[in-house]
Amino acid sequence: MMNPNRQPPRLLLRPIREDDLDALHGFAGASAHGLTTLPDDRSRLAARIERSLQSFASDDVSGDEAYLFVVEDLAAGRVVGVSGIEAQAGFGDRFCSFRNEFMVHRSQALDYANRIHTLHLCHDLTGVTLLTSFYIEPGYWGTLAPQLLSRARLLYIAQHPERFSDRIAAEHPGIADERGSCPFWEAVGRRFFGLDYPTVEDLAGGRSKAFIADVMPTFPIYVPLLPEAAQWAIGQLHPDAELPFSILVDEGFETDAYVDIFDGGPILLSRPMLLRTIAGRRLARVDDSREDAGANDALCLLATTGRTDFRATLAVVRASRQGVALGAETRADLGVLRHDVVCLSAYAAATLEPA
Amino acid sequence: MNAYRIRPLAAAEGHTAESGFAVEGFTGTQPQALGRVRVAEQIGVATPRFWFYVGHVAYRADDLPLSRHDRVLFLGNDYAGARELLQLQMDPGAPAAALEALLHGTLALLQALPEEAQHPLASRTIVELPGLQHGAHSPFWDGLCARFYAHALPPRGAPERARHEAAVASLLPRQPVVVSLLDQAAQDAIGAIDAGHAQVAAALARCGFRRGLHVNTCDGGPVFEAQPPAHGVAMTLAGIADTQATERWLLVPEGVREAWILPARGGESGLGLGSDHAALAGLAAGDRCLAIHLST
Repeated sequence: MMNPNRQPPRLLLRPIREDDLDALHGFAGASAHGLTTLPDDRSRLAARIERSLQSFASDDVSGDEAYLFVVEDLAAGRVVGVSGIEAQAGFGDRFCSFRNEFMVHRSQALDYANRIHTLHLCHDLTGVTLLTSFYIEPGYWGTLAPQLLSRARLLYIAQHPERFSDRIAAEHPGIADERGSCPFWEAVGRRFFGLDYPTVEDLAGGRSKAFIADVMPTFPIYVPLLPEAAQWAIGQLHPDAELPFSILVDEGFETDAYVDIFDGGPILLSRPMLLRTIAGRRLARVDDSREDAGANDALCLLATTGRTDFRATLAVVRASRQGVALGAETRADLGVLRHDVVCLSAYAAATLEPA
Repeated sequence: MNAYRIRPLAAAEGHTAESGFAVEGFTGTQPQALGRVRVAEQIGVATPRFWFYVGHVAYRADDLPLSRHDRVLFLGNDYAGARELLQLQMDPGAPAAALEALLHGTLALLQALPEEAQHPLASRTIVELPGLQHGAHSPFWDGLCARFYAHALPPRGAPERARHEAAVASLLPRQPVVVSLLDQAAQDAIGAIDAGHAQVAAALARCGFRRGLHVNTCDGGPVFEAQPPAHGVAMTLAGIADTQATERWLLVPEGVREAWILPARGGESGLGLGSDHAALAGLAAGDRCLAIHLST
């Protein structure tokens, strides 16, 4: 747990900019197969940035918006991670996933019952808000940067609910080896597609996976019929994705209902108001920082309330009914002045006094 | 041996009169028992019986473009109420023609049953042939059924086999099973016939049975379904002295519950039959028969 008396490193989350393209391209290239929705293609990444800029700027909410955020290490002066939000999964098409279901088959004559796991190709998650594109440089895995990168976007969703669904989902990559071979894909997808997983991933290129569903059976898949390795892979997480997964599970996301149709990786789902960061947030006016740390100081997520100029950081602050005391450096990082309103949510150490 | 008689099995032979048929061959005037088959009416009505229907589904992804077909197994009771020929037993020394005679004759006698004796649901007649199985192992069972009931398959012919098949069905997938998800051995076993029954399959085909789209739920063995038999023609026996007949005809004499397969010659005036065969079948000139031309 973080020592609340000590300020964390200066990290800032903000909307992506055009000049972040080099960093973004580096992240896409460094990701293993299936670990990110970022295509390893500079022109497509530039298009993703452009789409994000339009999404933040647009007053017209259609559901097609896709937002990208980056986290900067302000001390190092560089971008070290990216995360995203798609306003509506499968917008204009379908968002396909497998839904886990169980049926009990029973034979009275044989005095035998069997609980059968089935996978149902479904569109249940079409239209839900999707957390996407998470990548953090490995050197920052043990820092607060991934926490800020993942959780701060939830505050953005909470502050602009008209732009998002009342359910949030997040896909996470399933088991695959270094070459991209994936036991779930080999047992299921390949039977219908005849292509290896990396090739299909390239075909998908970050777009809806509905094109795959078109050649997959609409009938339930009986899991006992799959090879053992594929059965085992259902709902299993790629080891490299443990960090973002654990952050969201800690937030309150649930993991049992859906898996990815490509690799069987888990899909997390929750209502926004059930998430820790969102449920615990409140608005407060910015006050001058007091020099002395106190028992009520807490490590908090702090975010501005703007849409296009959204900023977020983590800082140890003292919050009270009167407001939140921010140091000059934190105020400068967020671009706020005394008496401005910020959104804050406790990250660790102490709960905030109620507003 | 070129004359065969097909008659209902007598009660003394362990069957009720309507539950089976026997075939006898004649060398001279002495009949020789060559084989028998049992007939089960309205199968799967009192106790549900299951088969997998082997269907197809087609998919197309316009984006790619890509299309594909898949075989799919649907568990159902499609032959409920049908008539089944089963326990087909032939004498090891019986000529191949005897088996065909038994099948032809049985179908003709069943068809000739008076309307009031026909079961209302028996619009179809089937024969189920054993699939691949070696001892307790069948590739179809191992690749599909055993995933839902982790026990061995009783050997073919074991008394409990039929009960077992019915009981296991309630543990099998009720939703369609995509065949390409099964292991290759199980896929290959769908509709495959035990090697010892290849001749039976060939005889069924020659007697108008067609391989259907259903398979056994435990070993994947195929179901053959009788196609609507060639319509018998009521003919009069015109001549008795023609011994040059080279055509094979199936005759069901009017008012008699037996069928004969004999050399005969068909003409506009009626059937010509050798005197020895006419005597064998107890036919005389002017008698009327239901007649079906089998081959030349």
